[in-house]
Amino acid sequence: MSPRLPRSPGSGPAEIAARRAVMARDAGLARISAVTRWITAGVVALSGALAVLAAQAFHGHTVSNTSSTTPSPVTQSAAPTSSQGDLQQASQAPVQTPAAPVVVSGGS
Amino acid sequence: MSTVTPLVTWRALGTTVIVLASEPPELPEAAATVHRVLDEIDHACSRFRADSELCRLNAAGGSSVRVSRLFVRATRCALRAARLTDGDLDPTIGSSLRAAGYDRDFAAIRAGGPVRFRRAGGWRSVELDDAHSTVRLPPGVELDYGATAKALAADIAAEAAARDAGGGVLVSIGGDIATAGTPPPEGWPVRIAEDHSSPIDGPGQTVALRGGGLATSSTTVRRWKRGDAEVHHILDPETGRPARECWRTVSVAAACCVDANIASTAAIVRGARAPGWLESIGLPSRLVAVDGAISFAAGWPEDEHSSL
Repeated sequence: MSPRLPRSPGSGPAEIAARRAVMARDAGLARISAVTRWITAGVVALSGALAVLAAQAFHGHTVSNTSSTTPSPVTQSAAPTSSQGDLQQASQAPVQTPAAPVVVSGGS
Repeated sequence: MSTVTPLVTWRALGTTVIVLASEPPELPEAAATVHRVLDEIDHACSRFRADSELCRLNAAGGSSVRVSRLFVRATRCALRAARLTDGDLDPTIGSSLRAAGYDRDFAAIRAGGPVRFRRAGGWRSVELDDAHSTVRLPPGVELDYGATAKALAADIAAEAAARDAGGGVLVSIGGDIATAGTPPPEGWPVRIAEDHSSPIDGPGQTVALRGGGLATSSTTVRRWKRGDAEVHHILDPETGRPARECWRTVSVAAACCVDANIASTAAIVRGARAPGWLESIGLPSRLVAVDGAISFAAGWPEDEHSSL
């Protein structure tokens, strides 16, 4: 329903037309604003739904570094073995020694 | 002043275990701790006992299997080895080893029967869910942690023994050596040989190890006959065949036994490319060629008079 224009004694046809144009513009802007709010709400809801779907579809297939929550008593220590990075050098390289050996390193 | 004590030795994981402690009174407690660790590793990672977690996973037919935290750790370790060597070490080599005849404890392998070669299943196919402690393998893929589990056991055992007993501890599992705690003042004297079970006073270079780990991989010890073929246990995952023998024995020192063992075994597989690779990653190494010539890399002490 079209808004009713107030009548004033001095209103001519041109002024009435101008007022109608202003009101039509305001009504259009209001409709655009309402549509924009609905679109924004829809995008937010769709993003959330997609995030939930992605989390359900792609979980659990990667190697992570989560530490143990129920470690066995003897093997719980993480040090000093196997970081996830490159092969690590010893702090000191082995050196030649004239001492009598206490153990043999060889193939098994 | 610390002195190296007598050792404690027994057999586990299909090989010889030796424990040394820098403080004499601590040796029994250190050895007891090592015993417990090796029992746990064996129960988790053995390919030759039906009740192990690894056997249960290999038989799961593609289903996801819940595993212990220790098995998760061993799996992380094996996958890391594969990643760092571009697949030259591959834990999915299990079915390849079985096809090649290594289908039981090495001491029980019998000669005879046809030998077949089957490439590894591919380490990237292993699905490890660390947070939920589960592992899944595609059907037909079988794991073998032989390239890393003994070294991991040595590292864990040495660390735990040093923590429990105090002082310095050395653990050798089949010649793969881990140290922890304060070493003897002159380090741990280690003889380098092709066979870890050779006499302690045999020929060969002796080096002092002041920390970290030392591993030796060799094609000369675990060999068997199948049909007309003589096979050794270090397979090339790409082909499933024994790695072509450029080096027959490689020894590497690193921050831990796992890293040393990864490098020494991968060097056997990599062949002629190994010295350059070892030099580039800075791990002191000693390489014995098939003809007996010895090369050194990355600061390993050169001994012109060294023999095998």
